[in-house]
Amino acid sequence: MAEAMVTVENLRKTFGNVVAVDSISFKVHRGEILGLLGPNGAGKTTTMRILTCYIAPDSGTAKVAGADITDDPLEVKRHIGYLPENAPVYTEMSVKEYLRFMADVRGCKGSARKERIEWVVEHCGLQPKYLATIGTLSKGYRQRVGLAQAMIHDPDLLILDEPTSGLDPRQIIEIRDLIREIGKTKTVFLSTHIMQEVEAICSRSVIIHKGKLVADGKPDELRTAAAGASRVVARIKAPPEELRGELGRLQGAGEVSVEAAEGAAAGGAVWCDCRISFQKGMDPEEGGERIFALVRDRGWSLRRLQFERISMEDVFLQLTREGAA
Amino acid sequence: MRATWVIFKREFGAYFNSTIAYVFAIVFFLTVGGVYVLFMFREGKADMRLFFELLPWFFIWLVSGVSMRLWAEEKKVGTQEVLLTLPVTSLQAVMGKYLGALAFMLLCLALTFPFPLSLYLLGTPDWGPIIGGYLAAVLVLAMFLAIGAFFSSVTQNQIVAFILTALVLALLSLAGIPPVYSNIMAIQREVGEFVRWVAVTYHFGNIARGIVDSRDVIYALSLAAFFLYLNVAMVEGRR
Repeated sequence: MAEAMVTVENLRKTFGNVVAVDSISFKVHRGEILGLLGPNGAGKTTTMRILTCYIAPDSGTAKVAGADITDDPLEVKRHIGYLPENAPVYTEMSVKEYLRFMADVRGCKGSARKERIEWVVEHCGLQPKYLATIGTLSKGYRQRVGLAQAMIHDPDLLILDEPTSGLDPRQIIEIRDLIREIGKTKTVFLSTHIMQEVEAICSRSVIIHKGKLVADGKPDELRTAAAGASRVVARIKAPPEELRGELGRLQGAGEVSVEAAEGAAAGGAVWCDCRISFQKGMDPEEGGERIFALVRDRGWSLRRLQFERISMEDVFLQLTREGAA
Repeated sequence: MRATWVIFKREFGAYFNSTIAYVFAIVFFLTVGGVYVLFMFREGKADMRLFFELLPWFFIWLVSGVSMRLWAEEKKVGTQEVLLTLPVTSLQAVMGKYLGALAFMLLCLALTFPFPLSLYLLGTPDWGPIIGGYLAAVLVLAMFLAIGAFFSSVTQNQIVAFILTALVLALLSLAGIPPVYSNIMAIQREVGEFVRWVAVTYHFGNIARGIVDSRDVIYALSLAAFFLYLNVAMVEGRR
């Protein structure tokens, strides 16, 4: 794997009696889009605030691009573009004024400043609202202004806290496309409580629950880890008893259930709804292929062949349930 | 230095987009102008002593009104999180915002320049006390604003910041009125002397007579520095 952009070690932060982040450790590799997934109140925002040096951890360390968050916060901040939750922006300024201000604070000067502003305006689709006062913009546009601001200095690392929250479906798709686009050249670390988001844009995800890290891996890996077996659903016309036996003998098949849809005459072929679970770690499509081969060899009929995909939602619910126990 | 300058510019500019700031500036100008016209011309003297003696009382409202948004608004809207995760130190952020607000208030003070101008046109004023008075006014503004900036940083509610600032500034001004400190002095001498020393009106009264004493300058600047230090501590305290 590529070198680490962010290294988090045993980070812990408490607010009064509440442990917001409880000794978590993980890495963000250069060039990946890492999703920090967890229910509301899991400690996502706290983690991001610690990495951006907005708050200090009680114990533990973190390094961003080699700089330590405690020893050299200014260097850390230089490497990061940060979009806090709800994209707070100075509402009385125009987009143009705001981006210029951000570029100036970041020390972009002259033609470099002009180029960077043009680049973010183009990539965030802000041309139509460039001269508008931010206070008059819709939530979607404000979010884009927040993203533009975070990218103004061409940072190595983008930290985005719930970048799509509060947006309508169309805006969500646009922002996700944008993040995916940015992720091709940059390292992105984003948080979300929406499972589909991780599946849609992240190359890897870290799941936290009640301040603790409960999983770390690619969405597929997590799914397999949490799901156990994968399952295939099929509707096959065959004699039920025979079908049950044959399916059970398929390579890798585990539990098999066959339900005849209509009253079956002895030995006659009827439509049957079948559910076949395959062994953990096996590609369900392979199972599908075997089922089809069986139907073809026996001259049966097949109407439906479906894979029950275990969603990230299930993974998430299962992991957070375990974490709570 | 660059970061402070950039934040200063933004803060100063923000006041020109802020309705409330305009309202306070205009109300300040109208009340101070009204009082000036009523009293000065009735006295028929070509000086501004009364004007400078009354000025701190007007500054209480002006400063409380202008400084209340300084940090409270950033906290409420969440922009503080953006500001403080930029590569700037807390001191740079505090100073940039403070100086931006100070520049706006100096502009409000500059609105009163027509008053000495009218004296010049109508009579022959003694410029010493007037220049001394303006110098004192700048010092008082600087000190009051540091207090206002601090109270704005303790809350995200602008009204709370306004009330706390106005209350403290009013106490600082009241403490310099003779019956207040002399009564305390009668009970406990040292406490009474401290109350008088801390009073803005005590120091400011001297300057309005045209006497610029280094002790008064040190008084105003050290209080300003103290509250700016507390402001930085509040901003750092979030961590």
